[in-house]
Formats: sequence, C-alpha cells, structure tokens
Amino acid sequence: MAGLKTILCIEDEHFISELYARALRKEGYEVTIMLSGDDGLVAAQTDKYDLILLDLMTPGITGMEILDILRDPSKTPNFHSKVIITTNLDQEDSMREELERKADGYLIKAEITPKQLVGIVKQMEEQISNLGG
Amino acid sequence: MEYLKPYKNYIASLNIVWHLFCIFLSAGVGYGASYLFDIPASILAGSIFLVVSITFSDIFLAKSALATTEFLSNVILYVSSEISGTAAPSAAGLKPRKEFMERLANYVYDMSSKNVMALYPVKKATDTPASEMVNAPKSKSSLKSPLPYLVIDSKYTIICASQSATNYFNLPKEKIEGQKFFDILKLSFSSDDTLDNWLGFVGERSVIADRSWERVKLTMPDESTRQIDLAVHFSKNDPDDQEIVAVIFDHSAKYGRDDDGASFVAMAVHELRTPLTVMRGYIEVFEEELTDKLDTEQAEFLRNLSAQAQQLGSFVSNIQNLARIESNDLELELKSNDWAKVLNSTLDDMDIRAKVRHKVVKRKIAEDLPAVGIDRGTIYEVIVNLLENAIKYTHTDAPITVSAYLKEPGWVETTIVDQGIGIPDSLIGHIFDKFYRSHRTSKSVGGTGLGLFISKTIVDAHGGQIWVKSKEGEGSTFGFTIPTFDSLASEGRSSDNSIERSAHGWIKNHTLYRR
Repeated sequence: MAGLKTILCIEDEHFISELYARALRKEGYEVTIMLSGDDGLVAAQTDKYDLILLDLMTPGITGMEILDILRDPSKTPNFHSKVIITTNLDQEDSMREELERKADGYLIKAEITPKQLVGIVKQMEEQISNLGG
Repeated sequence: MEYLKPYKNYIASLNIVWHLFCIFLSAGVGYGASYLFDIPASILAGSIFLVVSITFSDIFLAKSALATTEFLSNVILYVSSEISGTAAPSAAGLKPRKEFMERLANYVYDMSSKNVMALYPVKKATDTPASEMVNAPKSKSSLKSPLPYLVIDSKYTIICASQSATNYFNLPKEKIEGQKFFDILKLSFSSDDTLDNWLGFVGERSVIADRSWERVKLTMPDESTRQIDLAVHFSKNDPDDQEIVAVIFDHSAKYGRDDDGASFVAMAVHELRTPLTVMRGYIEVFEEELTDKLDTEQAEFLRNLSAQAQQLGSFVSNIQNLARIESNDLELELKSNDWAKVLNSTLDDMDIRAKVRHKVVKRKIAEDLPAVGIDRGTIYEVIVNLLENAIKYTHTDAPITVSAYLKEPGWVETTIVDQGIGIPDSLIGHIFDKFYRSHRTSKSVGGTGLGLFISKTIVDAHGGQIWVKSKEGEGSTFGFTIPTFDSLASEGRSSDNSIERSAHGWIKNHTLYRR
C-alpha cells in the first residue's frame, strides 16, 4: 500500500507533538518533530516526508507562511508531501478558500484525540492507495 | 501569551457597560423627544446613540464631550419624569421644557455632523433642501440630518434619497430614486428578524411603527460591505405615499473595532483549546494503557475525567459559535451526508457523557433515510447540545430516545425524547432565547443557556425548524428538521463534495481529488 509512512510534525506545543508522535509510532509510522516554524520549513522542503502535520501558530515563521512556500514551485520544487493543518484556531472565512486549495486537511486539535488522528491518517492512506498512486 | 493582552478584556467589558448605558440614554431621550416633537423615536434615539457612542473615545480627550454627556443625562432626568410618570430624583414636578429639548436636538445635530462626516466621504457640503425632510418639525431647520436616509413608497420604490445618501452610496440621485428599495439597500441581518419580515408584520397590524436594528451588513454598489445600524419609520396610508423612511447609521469603524473583540474570543478559544488537547491526549493514553491496572472506582474516575474534558470542549465550541453568530459570520457549507452515519457517530462521541451520568440513550433511526444536506460541523453542535440537555435535565435512569425519520418529502426530522423534569408552560416560550435558563433549575444544573439559542440559529440557517414539546414533571421532546440533499440540490443550495467535513475539521477526499 502506498503509505504515508514518514510523517513530519511541526508543532511548538511539546506535549501535543509528543502525544501525536507516540500514537503514530505505535502504529508503525516514522515521526519527526520540529518545534519551530523555521526548523519545520527546512525539514519540510527536503521532501523526505509523506505527510506533514502543520500547526498554524508556530514560533518564527507561521504555518500559513510555510504552506505558501511549500506550495510555491519556485520556492519548493518537486514537493509531494500531503499537508494536514493541525490547529486550535477556527478557520476564518477569509482564509477558507486559500486553505482548501493549499492544504489536504484541516483539523481542530481539541476536537480529536491522538488515536482519532491516527484513524484519519489511515483513512487518507486508504484513499490514496485506491487511487493506485 | 502575548496576544492575550489583559487590556482587551477590560475594553470588552467596558464596551458592554457603555453600550447598555448608550441604549438607555438614547431610548429615554429619543422617546422623550419624539413625544415632544413628533420625530420618529427610533431615528432620534439612533442619532443620539451614534453621537454618544462616538463620544466614547473622545471622553478622555475632550472636555466638551464630557459636558455633552452630562447634558444628556440631565435631559433624561427631565424627560423621564414626564414619560414614566415617576418623578426622577432632582426633577420632581418639573415639566420638560421645549427649548431644553430644542437645545438637545441641536447638540445632537452638531455632534453628529462633526462625527458622521468623518465616517464617510462627503464630496460637497451641500445642505439638504428642507423639502426633503420627512416628518421633521418644520421650524427645526437645524435638524437637517447629515445621516443618509431614503424615503420609500408603499410599492418599495425609493421616492427620495437625501444628498447625504447619494454621497454615501456614491451614486447620482437618479440612480437611486425610482429604484426598488432592496436593490439599493442590500442588507444582511444576523437572524430572521429582518427588515423585510418586520415590514410584512407591521403592514398587517400597524399604522405607524418604528424599529431599529444593530449590526446589519450592507453591501454597497461597489460590492464593498459596511456595518450599519438601521432605523426605520413606517407609516401606513401616508398622504404622500411616503410609507417608509430608512436612516443609515454607518458604524463600520466602530464595529470593526468590536471585531477585534471577536478576535479576542478567537484567541481565548485557542488558548482554552491547547490545554484541552493535551488533557484529552493524556486521558486517552491512560484509557488505552491503564484499563487493566485500575480498580473499578479509579476506572470510573478516569471516565468522568474524560467526559468532563469533552464537555469543556463543547462549551468552548459554543462560545466560538456564539461569537460567529453575533458577528453575523455563521456560514454553512451544505453537503450530502448519510444522516444515520452522522447521528450514530455523534451519539458514539456522546456515549461516555451519557454513561458517566448513568443514562441510556436509545437509537431509533429509520432505515433507508435519503441523504441529507447539512453542514456537518455545526449540525454536530445541535445534536450534542440537545442530547446534553436531555442528560442534564433527567435526574432518574429513565432512557433517552433519539429518533430520526422522513417527516415529509424533502425533510428529515430528528427528535430527542427524555422523561426528565420537563419545562413549565410559562417558560417554554423563551427556551430558545439567548442566555435563557429556567430559574428553578439553574441552581442544580450547570450550563450557560447558550446551547438552545445556538442550536436554533444553526437549524434555522439550514432552513429547518427546531421545536419543543414539554410537560413539567413528565419530560421534554426536542425536535428539528433538516433538508434532504435532493431538495437542496434542486434549489441550488448545495456545494461540491470533494472535501469531507466532520465535526473536527475537514479532509480532502483523495478518491475524488487529484492535485
């Protein structure tokens, strides 16, 4: 199955990233944690990851800026990772369209448990494998 | 956190107090003046409201503004003794003097012309011809208002636009006059208490009526939006067929500042959600990994903890929704959904909350329900709020039953039936009001009284209806209808299906979607 085996978690709240990493690792995923936006961007641009969990409010460069750079082929050529926004900010209407264009998902962290996050990642894997890609 | 600046909180509460003060002040003064001068009360009340509101920021700066406020409050003393019939402290026995009111009116005019001019571009300071003034006392030429207003006949055609209105809309007079009212004044109200509905209502029952609305969104001819207060005077069978006078109080600048208050809510919600995320995460780890190590009591404590964390999450979502509703920002994306699936997964989520209160929730969901057209995130809140209430207000172990069935073609109805304490007849009419809670039960049951108000707003926004049937001591039944997807699609109200929405966000459907 074409999977989302390697996952980058860009999340400054240490407790949250640990909880996510723990739950995902238990299910066999490889998880790398970056606690700042700047480190996160550098890691994301290596395109080593199948999936990026991206917080919007990161110290330094923000999640939204990271997303912009990742989706700009002149700044990040050959970018293939899926990006799921993980945030506790409610999606503002002004940003809705842009986020729906640039991200592959948008999750309110307080509304899901780490286990549910794993379920969502698995569901996404299934859909991708159904595509044959 | 840097964005939780303490002063925002302070300003927010100060603002509320100030609003209340202004409403009181303007209602009292406006009513008094209308009594004396036969000016539509709401118009005057509105203008005073405007002046006083604007004055707020000046208070710390300008002595003159302070003097005005003091003056206004003095006027209230005079007026209130006359209107209420109860003597105000220092004005007992005094009749309101006409010149006193006249000076007040001039104050209002002076201040509003100063401040209102600053709010929108006025190209020429041309005086409004006196003939344009409707219902203004003839001798009070100084009352010529720089506020934009429109006069509309009984067929909703604009028959007169003030100079200030043509400036405001940036349209020549002839492009406004003769047009249909609703083509020029494109309004969006935060609830179904709209101008349209009100006109329908008063048209049937009243000869003269006044009404004002706050925080109405106005789409300008250039598609930009403004936030206004709107005061409308209605007069049936007017000899000149001047049936409606609408006055615009543009508060975009002020409400824009209030929206910073709304983003304060967004930040507060964010701050509450972060520890909540962590708590729920750890609770889940314990639930998964400690179950066989805990004794019965400890396991129950852990379940309680989990249920409480979830409830806190619901409360935070309610706050967020309320802020959205209040700023007229509740936007739904109606999509095709399997209602049985949505209902079942929501009830599964609520399972632990029912369990810790020893309640059994029965499900009677009809088979083969047609797909419904819903905004999954917000409708989730409706189910949670109604079920939460049923759990809260049932103090026995009697079961709660959730049913869903096709009510009529195009509509699926869902009911939540409990055998709890019920709602007294005298209170049932207010149950969907904001902050409403039964005074009798408020002591024994926690909650904010927001849930039903939010639920109603959400169901209304889906085009459905929410209702309640209840008998004190026997229990309550809450029900709501939602449209089937077919009926929505035929109305063209649905949106595309490449994104799967849920209560906690959205994920692109990769079987349908390729980048």
